Amino acid sequence: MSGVARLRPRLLACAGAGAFLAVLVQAAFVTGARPQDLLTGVHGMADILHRSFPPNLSLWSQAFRPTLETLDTALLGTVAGVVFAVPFAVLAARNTTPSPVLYALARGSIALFRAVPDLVWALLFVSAVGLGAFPGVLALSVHSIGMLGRLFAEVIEDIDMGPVEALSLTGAGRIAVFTHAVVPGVAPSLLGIALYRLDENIRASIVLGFVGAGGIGFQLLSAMNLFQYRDVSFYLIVNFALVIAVERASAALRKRVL
Amino acid sequence: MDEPLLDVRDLSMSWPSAERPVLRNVSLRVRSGEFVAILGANGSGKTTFLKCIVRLVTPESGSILVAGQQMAGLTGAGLQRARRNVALISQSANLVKRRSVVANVATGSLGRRPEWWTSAGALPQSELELASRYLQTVGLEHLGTQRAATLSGGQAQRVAIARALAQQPQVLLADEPVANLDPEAADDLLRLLRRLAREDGLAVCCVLHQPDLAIAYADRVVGFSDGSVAFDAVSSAVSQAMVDSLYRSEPAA
Repeated sequence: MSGVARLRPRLLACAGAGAFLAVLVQAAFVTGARPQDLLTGVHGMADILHRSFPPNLSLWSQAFRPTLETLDTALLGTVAGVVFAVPFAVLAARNTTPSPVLYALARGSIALFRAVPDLVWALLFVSAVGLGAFPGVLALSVHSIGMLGRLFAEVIEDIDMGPVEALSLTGAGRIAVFTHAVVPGVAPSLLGIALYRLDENIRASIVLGFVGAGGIGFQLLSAMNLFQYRDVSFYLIVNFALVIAVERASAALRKRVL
Repeated sequence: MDEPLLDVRDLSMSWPSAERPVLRNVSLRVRSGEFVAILGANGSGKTTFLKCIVRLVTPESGSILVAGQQMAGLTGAGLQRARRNVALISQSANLVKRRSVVANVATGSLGRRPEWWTSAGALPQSELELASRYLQTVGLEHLGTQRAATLSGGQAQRVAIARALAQQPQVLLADEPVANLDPEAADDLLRLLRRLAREDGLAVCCVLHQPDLAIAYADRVVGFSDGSVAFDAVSSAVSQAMVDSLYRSEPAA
């Protein structure tokens, strides 16, 4: 092997590393990243922390309903997302779709639902149906159809087609083949994915409150706007407890079904 | 003489990209109670022949009568109905691994029970009871509540046979059902297929790669060579030379 040929992989690696570094530098430039601001902002952060302590625990009775609203927004949004994602996924999986046109339509819809962030969906639904938790439910449902539809379709595409063929040959109809050969195979995976989605939707439903979709997020934003940092710290503790509780519950459920 | 339950005449079939036809004017008749074994080298058209019968692939020409019903040319609901009369067991048992053994067997009845609740995923109690009886027939009644994923290869193949029986077909096709089994399990399975032919009057047609097993268990042995029938003889009349001739004449490239 000649010297140039031996050096070529190294040169390529150096060029690749240089290009990656250049991309990072432009990203830092565009986002205005200034690490020194972290140092100069230490006093501000310390001041906020000082003013956040102790958390205002007297708010617990007022926090109950918004917390329930956040939980219910995520729950309803996830369930509706799962219910509608399943038919979309069946149409968007190559091995179960009845026609190429429906396949393209389903894939296109799923891509659109996924591409628009849930926060944008929430803004649209707040404009359409007004403030409150319901636009949050709608936003999470539509975005979840996009996220779950794609993952469900991939799970369906990966199934063992042997049982499907075997049941088709018994003379069973398409729907019976689907419910008896496809569903038992994919149900645990779909349930596991749906539980992950519930995790994500809990966090998302907190953020949706910032744009008027109710829940604990709305309380958190209000407290921040009023510089009530002891209230903010209390609501953050509630958020943390809620997220951890749902994460633990969904992890336990996933363990049971998978 | 009885009318054959399976009556295939002049069946021809080509794959679009292949230079030579995979089946050339193949004819085969199997009567009620008969166990026919098909032998032949790889690529001789045995599996394609079975797939044509159940219409997993569409033949170019020829006639396929299953219990008097013409299968060739059928599509849609007509094909779906006609398939109830013929069951196919593959090399792989193709069970739904997360379901119980008895539920897997009962799914064989789905073609006969096209009600909305079976389509919605339910299995009628009467079919589950019937499925237990079919499990008894294949000697696995004690495994009914177990998940299909826990079965051995031989047990899974027996469950696949029980599922085929739940379909209540008149013709039973098997494509290398003993390919993944040890010799003892293979003997058991072929004994079972022979018993089903003799006692239940099924027409059984089984592709095998083991000439000794074919001769030992089948009533007739049919040799496939290069897409056509090289011989069709009662088992006792099949000689070593006839068998050897099948494996010497590999299809031309």
